Amino acid sequence: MANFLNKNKILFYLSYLVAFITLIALFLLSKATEGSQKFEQFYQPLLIVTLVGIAFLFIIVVSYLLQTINHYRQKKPGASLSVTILIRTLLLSFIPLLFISFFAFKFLKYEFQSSFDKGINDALNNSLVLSKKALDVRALKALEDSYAIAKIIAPFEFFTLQTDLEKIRKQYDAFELTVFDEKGFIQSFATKNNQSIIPDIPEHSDFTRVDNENGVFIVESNQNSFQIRSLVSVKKLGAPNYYLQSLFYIPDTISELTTQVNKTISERDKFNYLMPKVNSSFIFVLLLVSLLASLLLILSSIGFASNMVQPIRDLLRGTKHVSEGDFSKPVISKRADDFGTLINSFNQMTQSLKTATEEAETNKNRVESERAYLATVIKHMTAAVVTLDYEYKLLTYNERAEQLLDCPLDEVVYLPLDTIHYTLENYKNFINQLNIGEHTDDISPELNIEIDQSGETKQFLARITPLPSTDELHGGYVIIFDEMGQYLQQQKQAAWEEVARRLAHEIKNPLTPILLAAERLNYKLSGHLEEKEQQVLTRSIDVISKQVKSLKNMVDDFSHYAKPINAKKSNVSINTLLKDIFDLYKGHFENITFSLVLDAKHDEIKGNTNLLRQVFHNLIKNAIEACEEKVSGNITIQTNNEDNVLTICIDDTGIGLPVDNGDDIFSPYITTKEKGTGLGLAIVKKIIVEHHGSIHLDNRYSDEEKQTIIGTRAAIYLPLQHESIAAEMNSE
Amino acid sequence: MQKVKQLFFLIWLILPIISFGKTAIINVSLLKKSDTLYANVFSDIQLTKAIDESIKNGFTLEFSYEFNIVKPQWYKIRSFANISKNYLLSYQHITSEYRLVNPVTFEAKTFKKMDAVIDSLNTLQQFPLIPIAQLPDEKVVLKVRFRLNSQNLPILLRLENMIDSDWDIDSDWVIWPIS
Repeated sequence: MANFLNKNKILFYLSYLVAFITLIALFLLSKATEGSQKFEQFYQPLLIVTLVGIAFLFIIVVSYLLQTINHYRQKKPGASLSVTILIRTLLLSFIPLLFISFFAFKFLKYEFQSSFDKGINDALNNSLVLSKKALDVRALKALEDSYAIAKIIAPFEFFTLQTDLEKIRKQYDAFELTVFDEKGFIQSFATKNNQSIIPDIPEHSDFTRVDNENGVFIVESNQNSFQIRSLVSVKKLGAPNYYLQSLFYIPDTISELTTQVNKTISERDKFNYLMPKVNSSFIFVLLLVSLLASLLLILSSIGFASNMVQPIRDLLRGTKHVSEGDFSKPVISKRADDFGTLINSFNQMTQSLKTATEEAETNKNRVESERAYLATVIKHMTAAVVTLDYEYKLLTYNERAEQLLDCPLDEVVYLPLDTIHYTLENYKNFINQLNIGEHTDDISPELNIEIDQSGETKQFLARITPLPSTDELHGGYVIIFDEMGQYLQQQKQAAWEEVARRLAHEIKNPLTPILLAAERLNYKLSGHLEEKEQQVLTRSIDVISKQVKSLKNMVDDFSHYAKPINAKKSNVSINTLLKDIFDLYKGHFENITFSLVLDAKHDEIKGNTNLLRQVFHNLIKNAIEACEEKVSGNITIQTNNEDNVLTICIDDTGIGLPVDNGDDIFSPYITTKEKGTGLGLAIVKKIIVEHHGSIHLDNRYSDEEKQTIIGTRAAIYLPLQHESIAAEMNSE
Repeated sequence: MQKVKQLFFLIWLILPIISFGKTAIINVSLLKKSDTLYANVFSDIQLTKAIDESIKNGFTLEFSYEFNIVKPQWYKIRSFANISKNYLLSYQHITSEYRLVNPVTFEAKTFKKMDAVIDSLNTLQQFPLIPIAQLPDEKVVLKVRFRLNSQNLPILLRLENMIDSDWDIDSDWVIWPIS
């Protein structure tokens, strides 16, 4: 683009140079037309230079005009303004140029027309006539003299003719007298020029004319003098016609005057002859000047328009870049005028805009990040969360909310409450029961909400928090709720933990003295009793010892369950941990096949390796026991990523769970095994919850109707490392 | 190829029309006399109305017969001698006659009519060209033409002479062998 502009500029300067050269050529041409001897010899080259220069300029101007029209038609930026400036400038300039040209042509014509006054012309013509008359008078006299001489010599004798002629010549002051016979042969002649041996001979036609007209005279010029030739017949009695030719010279004074008149007439005729040509020539030069001026005018107008439009074009290009979000290309201008100031202002504005946009982008990214952070926090909160705007339209929600309300909340987002479809009645009922309007100022107390879901009444505990806003139209509400059952479950869990702690404290203390007392009794009585009694004692002491140990184990389990988990957490690769555990079990059971599918690409969480190992051991052990009851089976351990959650599934093909157990299976003292304490899964859940995760234990069915149980699936959901950090912060 | 032939045929047809009414050298005869080579030229000179008008308006025009003795070669023309016979033709208002003057000898002839002038110009008798001794031994030719010498014309008439066909009275060169 820059290259093109440079070429255009060079062409412009070249055009001006050509115009300057053409102007000089035109000036010299006009000088030559005026008759300057100096430039006359260069007339042709000057004319060629002028014409070539004008042709060159014409081509340049036409090409620029066509280019401008093309740009206008293509609606290129600045083309319309360029055309407007061009037209107005041309109008402004052409009108005076036309005036000047018109008057120049008019004056030129007037000057030439009035160059030779009619009076002078007439005077010159009259002087010519006068000169002719003067010569004619002299010629008539010469003719009369010739007649007289012819009469004198008519009765001539040949032997005296020569002498007579000489006398008569002198008498009549003739230059030459010659007598011809009827055939035009010279008979005798007398001349003033002694060196002449042959007389001046008339044309043959002159003799014929004499026969017809009796006598002729001819005025002849000779260098700068004039002579009169007269030819008359000489009538000699009894002889054929003779002819007498007389030559008379016009006197020098008359000759000079006549020559002068002749010269002046010639000059006038020359002038009159050349006048229209000179006129045309001047008009031609003037036309060339006008043409050159017009071309220069158009060229300058184009240059002016281009110069005016260029910064606008640059600005338009700049605005286009800015509108496309590209702030890296400032508009470059070296102009020091208002356009330069405008462009500098534009560049400053663009710079400010760039800074503002970058700030806005940074803020947007920050907001996005915070929003994502909040969304992640909300999503992984164990409680259900929904946010509403001031018109109670749903803005955000988490999975838990969707789960608890048992309806697809994505269909409700941004919808007014009235327009919500009946299939989403749970949500509508829930919101309606909250009576949000009563809690616009402050955080509401915990609200009990009951909703019928599929014929079952569910109880929710909800709290409404109004969001701060600058006006009424902004802001909204955050509603945090949870199912009462789960809440109660948690309370139940806490109660159990309390019981376990007390039991551990109250029961474990007397167990050691009981066991010591029993052993002491066995020691004291051993060997003092009869064999039968001794057997009873030994069996009783053994029973006491076993039961105390069993009781102690149970109390330890309770103690373990009740004790808060304060284990240190570090980065744990679940895939690696599971692989280690898998290696312990693989091949140790004849009838059970183990499979490990580690699909999770991101498996690192924040956790305690020992506790997690305990969880996986416990679940795998349960799966093995379930499979052993069916003699054989398969156990599959697999990991996966979904969003930012790590999913670990332990599937078995064992006997499955009793259908009615539900979430109670994680409660203490709930067991399906004969020898189980009922604390294993409770501890597992406690550890998983401690890791901000969740666990679900469900039967696996062979069909959709859930008729045949084919095993159990233990699914653990753990937040990935950065998610776990967020959860950690949330819990704090 | 066919088109080129057609073009040549067209030019061949047009040429005589273009050359019609143009001054032409009709005949040249050479005469060796007293160790000098003389030329007799008979031509058909066409002086146009424009020429006549300019003469009658006071201009003196210079005409000339130009003779070139050359040896034509395929790569260049070698010139041995350039001779010209000049005439100055003018008009006198007082006597209403044309004056034909030899600018070298100032010998003058007067004519009442232009036709008489043309008749006089048409014939050039025994014009001495070159001493025979100065003729090269090689085979040479004589080139002759009649022309109006425009160099002495005023610039405006020179321009007319360039662009106006009425002023184009120059004959073509005629080549005559010198034996």
